[in-house]
Amino acid sequence: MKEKTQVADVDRAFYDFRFDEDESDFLGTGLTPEMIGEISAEKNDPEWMRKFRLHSLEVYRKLEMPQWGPDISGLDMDNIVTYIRPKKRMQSDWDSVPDDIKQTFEKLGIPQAERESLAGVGAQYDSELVYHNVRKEVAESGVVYTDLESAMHDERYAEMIRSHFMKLVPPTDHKFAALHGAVWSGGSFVYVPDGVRLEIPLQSYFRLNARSAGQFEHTLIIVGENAYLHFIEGCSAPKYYEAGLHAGCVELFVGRNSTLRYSTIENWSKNMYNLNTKRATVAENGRVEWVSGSFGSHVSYLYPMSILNGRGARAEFTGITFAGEGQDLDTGTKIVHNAPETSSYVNTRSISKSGGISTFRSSVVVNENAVGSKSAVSCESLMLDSISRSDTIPAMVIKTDKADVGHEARIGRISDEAVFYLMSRGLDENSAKALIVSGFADTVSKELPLEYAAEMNNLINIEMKGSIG
Amino acid sequence: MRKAVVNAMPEPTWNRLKINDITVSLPDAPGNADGCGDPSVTALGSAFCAAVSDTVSISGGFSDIQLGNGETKGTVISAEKYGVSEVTEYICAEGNCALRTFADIPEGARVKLVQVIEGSQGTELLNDVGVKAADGARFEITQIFLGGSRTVSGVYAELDGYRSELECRIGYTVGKDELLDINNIVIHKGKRSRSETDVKGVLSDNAVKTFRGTIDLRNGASGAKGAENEDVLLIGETAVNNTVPVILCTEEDVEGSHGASIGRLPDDVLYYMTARGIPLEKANGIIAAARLESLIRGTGDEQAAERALKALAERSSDAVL
Repeated sequence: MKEKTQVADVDRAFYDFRFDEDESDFLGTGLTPEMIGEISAEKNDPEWMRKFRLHSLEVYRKLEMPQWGPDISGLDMDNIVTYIRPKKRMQSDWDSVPDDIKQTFEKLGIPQAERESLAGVGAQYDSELVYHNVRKEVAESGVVYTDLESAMHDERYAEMIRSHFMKLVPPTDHKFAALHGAVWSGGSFVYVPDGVRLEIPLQSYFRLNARSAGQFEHTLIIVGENAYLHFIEGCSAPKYYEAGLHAGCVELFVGRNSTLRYSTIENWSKNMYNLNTKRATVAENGRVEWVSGSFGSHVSYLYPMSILNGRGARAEFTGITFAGEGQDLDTGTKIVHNAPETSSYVNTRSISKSGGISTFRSSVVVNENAVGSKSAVSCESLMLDSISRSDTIPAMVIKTDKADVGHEARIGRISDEAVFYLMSRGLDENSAKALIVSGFADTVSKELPLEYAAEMNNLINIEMKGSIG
Repeated sequence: MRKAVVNAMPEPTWNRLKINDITVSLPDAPGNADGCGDPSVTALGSAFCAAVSDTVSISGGFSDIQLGNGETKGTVISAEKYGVSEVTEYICAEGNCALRTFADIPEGARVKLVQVIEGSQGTELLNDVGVKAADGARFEITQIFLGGSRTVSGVYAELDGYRSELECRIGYTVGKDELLDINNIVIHKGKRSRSETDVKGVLSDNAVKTFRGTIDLRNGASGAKGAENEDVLLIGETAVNNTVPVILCTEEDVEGSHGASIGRLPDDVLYYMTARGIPLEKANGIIAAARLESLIRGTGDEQAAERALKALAERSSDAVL
């Protein structure tokens, strides 16, 4: 077959390697108070957390499945393994990590990235963190980067965790937030003290290896005043025929005059249901910047939310979604302006091909007290064939007359004029189209660190292979 | 009086925003399920269509429509192939009442509909327009909303034919405790079909307005273009604006776009006027009225325009734009 892409030597199977699991490590399927109690005991939860899990399970049972968005009837919760015992407790020495897990992350380039460009790394394999490390000078600056469970048992941070855990995303928020509250496991805790600006990023990488399993990691980040943090999250899983589930939760607290940039490249395999919840609250003159690339999963519901609670707080969301065959990716963002002179800027691109469905969904709510606030939303979608689908569903709810809100959206195909222009300069038609698609995604890739931009471009090229022309 | 959910978005979004649809009271008049055109061609929904009775067929002219409490009225606009039908409906409503207008526009024909809607205090008016357009058919609609406690309105246009077209212009002023709920749905099925929707409005006092605008570009509608724009002026501190411009697309060779701008008058405009001795509130009123005036004068129906401008002036003098 003729290759219709400029990158021909990358194979998606790169992400599909896997190791056999010992099923005796599985805690079983189904959701019962006994099962939750077992997870709690396994993790040696404090009493408040054990009660919180059981309360979340009750909420989960009462809440309905969402009545909008992509079909998730293929997700059978009775068949999802919610907890897998780790082979070994978390390590801060890479050599002590079990060999098969070490091989997994080495293939994904995590240790190399740590050595070259990161201030700290966390790696989660199935239900638990297997490795966490932070550079000595970063730790000495007072930055805490560890797994959430260790922090919860450390008296220095225990109260901080208790007062912040699932306060931004309560279990009552939606059914899968409640599920997360009941079975969460793993994830990272980051604390950046006042005045500390961490110029190089921290990264957590989540890998789900097991078949028919769920991953429910919880990321809690607290950034003090006048501080800066760039946090990167990566996710992948090998492909199985059985459905897998990712229902993680991210809670970000951004202090006064601080900035938190949260970048994600999500490349779950195409049997995964990605029902993740991410939320940030931003204090006075603080800023949250979301950079989001969604390439994998069978179904996604993903809408990072920014709540601008302090005067002058700002949110930026830059996202790209690429929906290919068998994918229904419902992505976007939610922004709430809750204080005067807040501002938000949303810029997204989505691409649909080979029967994929891409939906951009957003909401901008400007409340009564958010006088002098501004919001601008721009979304563009590209359709590469007529068997795919692309929808945009933005909502704006404005409750004050002293705000300015703008929105623009476009859906279309690759412009014939642009193809003609490039062909007149010597490119063949397929190369011209591939170049245009890369350019279309450029607005997001330029926001990423170099190595992640390269990974994103590789992912686009994998998806584009054989798709156009 | 029966309750019904109407004006539902073709693709719903988060329930907690409370903008997916609206619950209304249907008038008690005996309904006639197929008495006013194709009941599937509706923005408000089939429950609404079934409640409409007293249908007449017209091919043009001015209709002065007075709707009282519990009354419903249906109008079917007939048009000849390659003919032109121009209809103006001046609607004054009281109480709980409903109106439906339907047109099945044949090949090459042009139908122009102007609706001016004046509601009084305590009114809940339901207004539905359903249109099908064949090859080369064109539908032009201008709707001007001049008050009423609760006005729930929708336009559903099915552009079935090759090069069929829709041009939709909407203007509204919503003030005091009034509510206006609009649901416009344009389905592009015909190749090279075109739609353009332009909405301009002013919200003051405790007004609540929801505009749902959907452009649905269906598979097979190659070369189709749909565009939609809403420009909202907010001059009431407690007014609430909800805007949901939706594009649904299952065809590659199409263009869909929408834009929305919601906010205050630009500071330089207000400065210019206040510098000339015009108080701030009046300046807001003048600019707001001017927005609608141009739309009203553009209807081309002098009789309707004269009455609408008078009603607009009355609202301005009552400080309810």
